[in-house]
Amino acid sequence: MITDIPRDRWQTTWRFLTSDSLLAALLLATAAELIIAGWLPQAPLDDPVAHAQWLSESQARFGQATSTMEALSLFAITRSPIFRALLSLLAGCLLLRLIEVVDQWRTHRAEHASSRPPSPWATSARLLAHVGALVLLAGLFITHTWGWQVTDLIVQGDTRIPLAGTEEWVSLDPDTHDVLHSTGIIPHVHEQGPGVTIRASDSAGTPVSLQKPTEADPVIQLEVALNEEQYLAVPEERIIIQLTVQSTDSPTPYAPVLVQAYLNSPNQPAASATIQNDQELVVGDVTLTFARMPYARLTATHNPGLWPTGAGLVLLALGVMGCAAWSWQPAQSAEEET
Amino acid sequence: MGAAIPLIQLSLGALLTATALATWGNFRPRPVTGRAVRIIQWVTAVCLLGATLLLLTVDRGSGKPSPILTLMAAVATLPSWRPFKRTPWRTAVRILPAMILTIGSLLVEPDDTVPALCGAMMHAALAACGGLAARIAGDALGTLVRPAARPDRTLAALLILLTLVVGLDALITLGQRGIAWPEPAAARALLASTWLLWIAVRILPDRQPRLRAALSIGASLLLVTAAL
Repeated sequence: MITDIPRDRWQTTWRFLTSDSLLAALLLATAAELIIAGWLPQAPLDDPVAHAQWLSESQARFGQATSTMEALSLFAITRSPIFRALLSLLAGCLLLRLIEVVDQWRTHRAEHASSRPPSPWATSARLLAHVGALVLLAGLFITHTWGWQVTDLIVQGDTRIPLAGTEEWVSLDPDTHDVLHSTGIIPHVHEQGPGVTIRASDSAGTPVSLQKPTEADPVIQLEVALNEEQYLAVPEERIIIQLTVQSTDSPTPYAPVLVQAYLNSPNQPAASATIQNDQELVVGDVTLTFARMPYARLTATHNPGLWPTGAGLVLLALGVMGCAAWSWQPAQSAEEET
Repeated sequence: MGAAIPLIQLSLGALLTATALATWGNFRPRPVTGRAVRIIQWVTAVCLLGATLLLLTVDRGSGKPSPILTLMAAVATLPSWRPFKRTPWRTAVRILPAMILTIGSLLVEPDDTVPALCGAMMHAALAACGGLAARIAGDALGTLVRPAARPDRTLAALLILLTLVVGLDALITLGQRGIAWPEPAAARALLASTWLLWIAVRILPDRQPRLRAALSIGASLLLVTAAL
């Protein structure tokens, strides 16, 4: 009798850990977290400007509750310890259930060889669902641990841009405007638009330096992506240049660009031109040379968990659909009902 | 506006008639009542499908009504696989979500922005999922009052279709962007949560029919919201 008690406790614990009720409770808790993530605006990770904008909008919407909600990780659900703990528990529960499924299948084959076996399709679907879910969770873990992403990256021309301090790179094909990249990268282009390369020279043909308002050091050549109205200066000659895309909603890479150069008066441009192709513009003693160089705004992702995630998704989907199609009812449920 | 609105209004009237007939059939059970309700349901479903097609082709981009909601209402209106005679009162309750969706289609402005999911077919499949979810919600409303067996076939059909939608969307996104569920994507988070909810409803033990029914209603509301 004394020796039976620990074994019963062990069996009860095992039955609870592999029960449908526990799995359903974990799925419901995960779903609840995802619903919160869907309803509440989640904080952007990398972009400080976007983060500042998100913070001001959240404070306007939720007022003083924002700090409490932030402390509860409600604005970063998928990065919160609670969500990660839930996924870990889910993985543990699925692993134990997988052992249970395999064990039940083998026991049934050994002990009930004469009785009618369960449908092989139903058993396969059940196995697929559990294996698929575990592989998917493993893939997501690999992605989260070793993967990285660079968002809102502006790429112009065929210069290779190194990513996240690694050997991975992206660039733009100057002829086709396709994104070129190293093998471990998946680029996702959000938008493509017009851009220009600008050089300036004086009357003797000597290069004159150019400067963007946001950049400290003057340079001989500037590459400007025209995703918005841009300003730049020729400091030595006191020239301000304004670049505006002459297109409405979504400008094409070769949309015309209006260039206005201001020399003395801030209201009256000293020279202006609409650039269609490569072109020169003379402002006082300075010759500005414009060459078209379209840009692409993209997100570059390095995901070592890509294949496990994909394989897990396929297996899980097949398993869940198979279980639904063959009206699979887990043996555990029948056990619980009795 | 064209013929879409009259068709939807006609469907709404037919659904009201079917509800009244089913309720009356509960007190005065006659085989002809059941057959009449089923015929009305078929005709209404065809009318609503016609209205959906009109809204997607002839009346495209003309604001209300919402074709997504009319498609959901059409799927929700289709008669049950099970024989009518056993549960006339349940049939009356089952029609309620379809009526709400039909009324909603006349009131809700369709969203013209680019859908979060890849492609119109996926959106249509999601709308069909919403319709199936509404059918299950109708059954669940009846179960809350008087527990009954769960609607296995509808639930199985919903789970298969929803798994296809969620799985394909995640796979396509994984191939295009390198991540299955990129942040921030509120629509995808809602859809994934809905999928998990329906799986939880599917595996909940049979001894908790009211909990399952309450969850089904919540999951249906969420799915309809996610599909809009």
